[in-house]
Amino acid sequence: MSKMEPDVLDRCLLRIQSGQATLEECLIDNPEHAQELEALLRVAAVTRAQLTPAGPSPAFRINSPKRVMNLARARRKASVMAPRSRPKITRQPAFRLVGALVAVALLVGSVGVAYASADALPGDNLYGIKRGLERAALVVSLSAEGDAELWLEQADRRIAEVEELVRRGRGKDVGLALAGYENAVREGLEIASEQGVGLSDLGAALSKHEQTLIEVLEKAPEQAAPALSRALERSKSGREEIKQIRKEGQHPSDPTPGPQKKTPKPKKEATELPPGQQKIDEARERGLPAGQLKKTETAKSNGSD
Amino acid sequence: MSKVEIPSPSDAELIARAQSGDEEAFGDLYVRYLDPIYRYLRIKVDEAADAEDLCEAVFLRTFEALDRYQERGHPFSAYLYQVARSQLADFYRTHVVGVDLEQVPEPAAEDADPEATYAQHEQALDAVQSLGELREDYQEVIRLRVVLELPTSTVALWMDRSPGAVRVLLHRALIELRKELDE
Repeated sequence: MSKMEPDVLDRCLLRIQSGQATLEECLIDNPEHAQELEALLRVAAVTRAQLTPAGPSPAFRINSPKRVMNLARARRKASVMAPRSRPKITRQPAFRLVGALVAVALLVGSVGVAYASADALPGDNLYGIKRGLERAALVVSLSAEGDAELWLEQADRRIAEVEELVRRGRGKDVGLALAGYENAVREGLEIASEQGVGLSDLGAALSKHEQTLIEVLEKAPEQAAPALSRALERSKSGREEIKQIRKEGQHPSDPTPGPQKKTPKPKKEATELPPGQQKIDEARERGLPAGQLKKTETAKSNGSD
Repeated sequence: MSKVEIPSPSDAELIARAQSGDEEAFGDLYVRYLDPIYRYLRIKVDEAADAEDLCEAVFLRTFEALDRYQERGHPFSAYLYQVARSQLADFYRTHVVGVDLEQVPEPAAEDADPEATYAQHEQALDAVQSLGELREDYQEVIRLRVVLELPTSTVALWMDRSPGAVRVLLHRALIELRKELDE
């Protein structure tokens, strides 16, 4: 009898797991290895039967993503808002000059990198810096008008990147730029709808984007076509949404008259956490899962270590 | 996780959108990988509440590191798996670990045959204890390929080995597990 190859076992396991064959059928198909195969497949079956865990509960499945996103938003907001306390460092006079020179060098270097990143395209090393600077600009923007302008600039920039990528034959990187474009359009529309700003500019920009995307689509490699088509649809649906917003009410930025005015809502804030979340946050701050916080506290109250 | 189907939109698309600030896209990734990550964690800890805490910690940490994430030939699920292992390591550092025999699931109450019930429970204890006797990579390949039924290609990416190496590892692991169970 020849020695059984690991492939035989793996193939049989796959067939059984996918319901394509029973254990017995696998043995019939591999008579020369039937004895060893049967022993190992039975071990696998017993192990699986005894150790397969239950999946997440329906409540956890529904609530967990929301809870984590709320927590992430709250943390992000806290990290942006909270001033960072830095330890006071006493320097020797000789080091002050060196420190100052290093600081100047870093500043010049950082400005240089930021400047260089302006032309970066998806897939380039500096592209992350470019997008990071865009996000930073949104963080420091203090008004809905400023936000609307920045999202519009981002949408324009993503379209310019798509044009350049197609020109260079880098179809595989187009998807990243278009994902950014769709997101920028969605955010711009949300601000236009909720705050009543940037509607006309966005409408005009979407028309231009649509035209550019049609032209790019004709020249683009096949792999980029689905993402381009979807972005094109996004531009069209965006213009439809603008029409709809105009129908519903006139906005300060929109010269087209409408039947009623909407009161601008305050700038969007991070969602507040539910009361029970506080405990989980506390645990996370201490680097513990929430369940463990409870255990630790119980242990403390019992006087154990 | 399904065996061979390619989800749409792809992970790369959802990641790109999430990196652009689209939280819904990350929510979609969360829903897509909640099940395998939770079940993997659940095998490794005694209580469902701990698995839930760890699972949320994995996704929270991933979300916070998403800006720096680059695929580099490894799928997103493999990244989540690495984060899960790291969270587990932290968890084990702060917990007393060991196989808690009380936690081995009892057979369903409607099973009327006490002898069969006892035999089933004993078998479960055997499986847990025997698996724990194996070397760590043998245990891991059995958890991923046999218990969670992940395809070999996925296990290979998660364990950072070739599919061929995973097949060999699984073969050897099951031979060793059989010996342990026979003892």
